[in-house]
Amino acid sequence: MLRQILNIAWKEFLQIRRDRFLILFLILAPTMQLVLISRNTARGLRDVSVAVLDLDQSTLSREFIQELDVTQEMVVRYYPRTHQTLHRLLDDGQVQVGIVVPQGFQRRFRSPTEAPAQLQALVDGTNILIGANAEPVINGVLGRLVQRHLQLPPGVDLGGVQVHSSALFNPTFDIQWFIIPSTLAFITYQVALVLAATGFVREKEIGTLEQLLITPIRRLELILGKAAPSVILGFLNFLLLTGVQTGGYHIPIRGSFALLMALGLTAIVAVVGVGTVISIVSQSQQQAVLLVFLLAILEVTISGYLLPVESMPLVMRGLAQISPLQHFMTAYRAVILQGSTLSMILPHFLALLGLAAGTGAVAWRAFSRHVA
Amino acid sequence: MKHVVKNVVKNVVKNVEKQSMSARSQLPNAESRFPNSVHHSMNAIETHQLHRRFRRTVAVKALDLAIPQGIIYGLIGPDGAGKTTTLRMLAGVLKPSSGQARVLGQDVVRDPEALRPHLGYMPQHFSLYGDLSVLENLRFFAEIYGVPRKERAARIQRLLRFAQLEAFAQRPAAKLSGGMKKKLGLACALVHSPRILLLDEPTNGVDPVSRREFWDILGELYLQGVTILITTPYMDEAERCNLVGLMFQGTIIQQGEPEALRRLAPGELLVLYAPDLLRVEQLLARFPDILSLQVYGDRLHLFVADAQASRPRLEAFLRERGVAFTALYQDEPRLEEAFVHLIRQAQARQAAA
Repeated sequence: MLRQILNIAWKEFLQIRRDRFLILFLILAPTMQLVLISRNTARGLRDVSVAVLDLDQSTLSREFIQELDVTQEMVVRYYPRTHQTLHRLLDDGQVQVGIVVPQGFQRRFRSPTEAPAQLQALVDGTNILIGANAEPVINGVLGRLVQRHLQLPPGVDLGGVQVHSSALFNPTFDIQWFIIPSTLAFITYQVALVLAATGFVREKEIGTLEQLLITPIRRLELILGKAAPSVILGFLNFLLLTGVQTGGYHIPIRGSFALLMALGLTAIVAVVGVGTVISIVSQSQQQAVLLVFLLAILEVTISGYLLPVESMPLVMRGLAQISPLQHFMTAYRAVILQGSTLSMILPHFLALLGLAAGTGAVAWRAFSRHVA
Repeated sequence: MKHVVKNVVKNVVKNVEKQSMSARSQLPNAESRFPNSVHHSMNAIETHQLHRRFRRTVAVKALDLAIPQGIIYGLIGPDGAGKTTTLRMLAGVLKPSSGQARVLGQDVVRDPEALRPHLGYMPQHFSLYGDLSVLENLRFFAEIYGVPRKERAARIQRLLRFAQLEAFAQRPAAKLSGGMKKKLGLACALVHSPRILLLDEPTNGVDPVSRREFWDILGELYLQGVTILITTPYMDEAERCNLVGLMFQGTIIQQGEPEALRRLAPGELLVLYAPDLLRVEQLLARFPDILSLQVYGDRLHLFVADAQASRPRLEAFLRERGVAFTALYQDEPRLEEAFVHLIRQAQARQAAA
């Protein structure tokens, strides 16, 4: 019995040894997953964009802004003059945190007996990581100011300084509002990718591709014809998931429904483009599925699913710019939760269109090279 | 009925042969073979110095083919001779490394698409969509080939009848027997009424009855004037072709009508049945008359220059050594013997070089 088990196992190893792709996958995928995810998350939150509306215009308020800017977590990018501008920056997703330093901040800070100095922090609640971390960071900065100017020992409470933070778009900081739309985008991406990635390679495996190549069908027709069902099925799946999200979890769609659908369709076309390339270059369905898996690991790390793109190392931020999932996820969340309009998500939209065209071109070239 | 058709086919074949082929023609160019034909400038398939390399191996080497319209051309040769590569290049799915190939006058390298409406190709591992039914497969290929909607239903019906698949129209292709699958494959390759048919070992692994049926279909196509280029490992099938090309190491080393090729077997054939073949084979190494020796199961095929003269000598030789044999008689050499001989000769020449 053991002998036969060993015989089979030995034969398996012989076969695996011949499958260079599988070996590469076994080495690369787990390592990549571990390194990427830990590298990305171990850094924690970094370089969150902040806008400060400084109504006090005092030495202390400027010191506060400077201190905030030098933290690892936050970068002060905008100094709006009015509440209106501040809110627009938040709405457009230009910044994730908006801070209002009210008039009299310095005066009250120095004589806390009169009335406590207050800061107002508006935090983008659609990203739970930012939502949970913004207040502690601001408090830390304030703590240092208190220590420096009021000579209080560390650890003592901040005297009269108070931070009032409120979450925008997701007032109750419901973690589901963050997780579900992100997951939905990821699943939509995965389904469309797998559908497209197994298309050509299946015909290649059963041998019908050569059959099709000698028919009068043109290559472009063949590629588009193979891609169309993946797009349609992927889109139906996207519709279904969005329905479950709205109906089952009561997550509102604050933006335009038509825009949301256009976004989904564009993203799915781009993803199907990627899948088609995988399908054309793969030698077997197994290989195609492994490639999809490998890509998913990478995409999950750089898409902003775990950590906002702003907080990633430079290389990954660069990669994120060519990740269809990143653009889709970011724009989808913005439309759903922040009610973003086309002009607000235009960069993501254009990026997805570009990716769709780019992957289409690559698929075309790969087809000419790898198939006929 | 079938018999009549077959005879008609045979006669037509004979006539074509008489007109077109000289015995032992070793790749004459098209002009010399068709002195009287109006079609002489229009071979169905022509290649000139066709080469195809795969990394270090050369699959097809300096191949010159000239196949007249309306014949059945059989491409035979050992495995790895380059038959499949040749067919794939002619079908336009594989680019030659160098050389030219024309099918129906069209350059298959420069413009493979122009040829598609006239070309039917059945690859060696012909596969259909196993999860689609026989009918759905046929419809799909009819659509893709742009068979006019009005003709489609009638043509599919005719092909189903032709391939004797009428009763199985609704069956998923994956559930057909091996022979039926091949016939469905042929039907799919025929759905657009091509003028040229490239068949790569279409009957491989099919039982003799199905093979016969398959050839009956080819016979009918031949009568309709379709040019057929077929590769086959079966010599009985090669004998049914008008013209046979023997391919070895990427090029045609011998071409002619089957009867002419058969005569290339070395000398005359003696068939010897003996209980202890191994011993006889060893002993015969010392028998001077033998030009070539081939083992076929329970018998030996011995080629000698003069069978009449050698037979009594051989009988005496064996008796002297006390070797029992059950039969020894002269027979007509078949294509198979010629094939084996020619390939061995080529291998020997190669080994010597």
